Amino acid sequence: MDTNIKLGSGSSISNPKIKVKDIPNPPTITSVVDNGVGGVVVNFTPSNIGGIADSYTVTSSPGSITSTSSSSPIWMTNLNYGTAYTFTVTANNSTGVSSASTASSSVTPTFIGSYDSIQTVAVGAGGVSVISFTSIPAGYTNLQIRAIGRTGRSAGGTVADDVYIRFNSDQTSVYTNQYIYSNGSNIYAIGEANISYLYAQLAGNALTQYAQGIMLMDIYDYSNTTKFKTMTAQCGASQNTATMQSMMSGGMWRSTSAINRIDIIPGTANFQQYSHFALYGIR
Amino acid sequence: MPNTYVALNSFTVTTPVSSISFNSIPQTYTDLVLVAQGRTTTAGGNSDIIIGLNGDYSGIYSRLWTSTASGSNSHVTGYNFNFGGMLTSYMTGGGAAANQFSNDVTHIMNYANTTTFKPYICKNLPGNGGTFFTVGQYNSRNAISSMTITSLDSTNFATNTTFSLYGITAA
Repeated sequence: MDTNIKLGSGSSISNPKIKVKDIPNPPTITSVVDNGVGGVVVNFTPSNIGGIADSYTVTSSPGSITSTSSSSPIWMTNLNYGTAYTFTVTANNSTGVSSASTASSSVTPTFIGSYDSIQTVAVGAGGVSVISFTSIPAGYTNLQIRAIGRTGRSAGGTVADDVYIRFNSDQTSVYTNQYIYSNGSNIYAIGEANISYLYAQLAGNALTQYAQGIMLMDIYDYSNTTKFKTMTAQCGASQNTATMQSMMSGGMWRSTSAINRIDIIPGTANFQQYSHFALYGIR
Repeated sequence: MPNTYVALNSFTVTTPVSSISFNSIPQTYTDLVLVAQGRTTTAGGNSDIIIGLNGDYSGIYSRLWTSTASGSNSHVTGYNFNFGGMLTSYMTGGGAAANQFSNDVTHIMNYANTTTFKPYICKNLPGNGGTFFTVGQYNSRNAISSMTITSLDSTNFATNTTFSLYGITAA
């Protein structure tokens, strides 16, 4: 149907289009997730009918705690541990606020408290010859070291370099280590007894610029005084060429002493700038 | 000392979908950990899982993998480079027993820094009895703010597949 709007001067506009800004329809909550530190993540999808929303507001029940964001998900904090909550979400624009969505399923925020950051070393310009975690507190069950890094090794075009791990500054031959490593073409398995350190691996300095080796090491029951101490590590170095290396290592320190110090020593020269080592305690 | 291992988000597949995305990843953690337990609808064996970081599918991903085959003493290794996506693991396909799901855990270190490339490690049990270990790298200095997970054979993730993303903070 054609429409003419006549203006006062006698002219007119044919088939005018009028935009009506409407209040949004309520979104739909798709899931709510306990994040383990007293918070909840609320995922939702906007309605595809009604007005376009500028923001969304999640409201808790009980407590009427609110959080607003321009998109999903919305992170709810300041909740009480152990209290069961449901959540609703509204869509908002300058015209108004939608009705509330259907309430979410119930979720109870928890506080796991099982994984703590103990100490971190970020290597600066000039590098360092050893990474030392000292005065490691007892009270956790296991330790984990997460690292990226590269050593000073540049000879031979080998992208990886060994790193050596010692506990409590013990340099005697009471370590046992087995590992397999691969270069993408062959796999090698090596076992060594009565050595003075444990093995892991990071990148050498022949790796392409900005590339880093990676290491994930777990040390089990470290403060026990009746068992020898065991560790496992997954590590290696990858880059955007055919030259790479990976290692899976498992070892034992034949001592019943509780571990209170860990030293990580590069196979060659210093750990380079931007290497990053973080020690965590796990209950 | 505060707890530093935080669940960021989680998805459970209720009807088969071709991709799962984690968007708007907070930049306030040190490492990311992606935990998956799943299967795809591929008719054959396993599906390669591929992740696009920041929507980037250019050929700047590399990885080296080592695997033991199911039911034998054999082991194999190989690598990819100049690859258009982050290859992490194998996921059980539709040919497996109905309740059989693979699992894999992928660690991405220092994901928010803009100084270095982003190395990752993945430990994977494909679900057919083999094991799979990957060391790889996103050869980009960009901070990672999103990840989209698909299967390389473009099949769907099956119902009850789960993906959970965690953040870890170094003090």
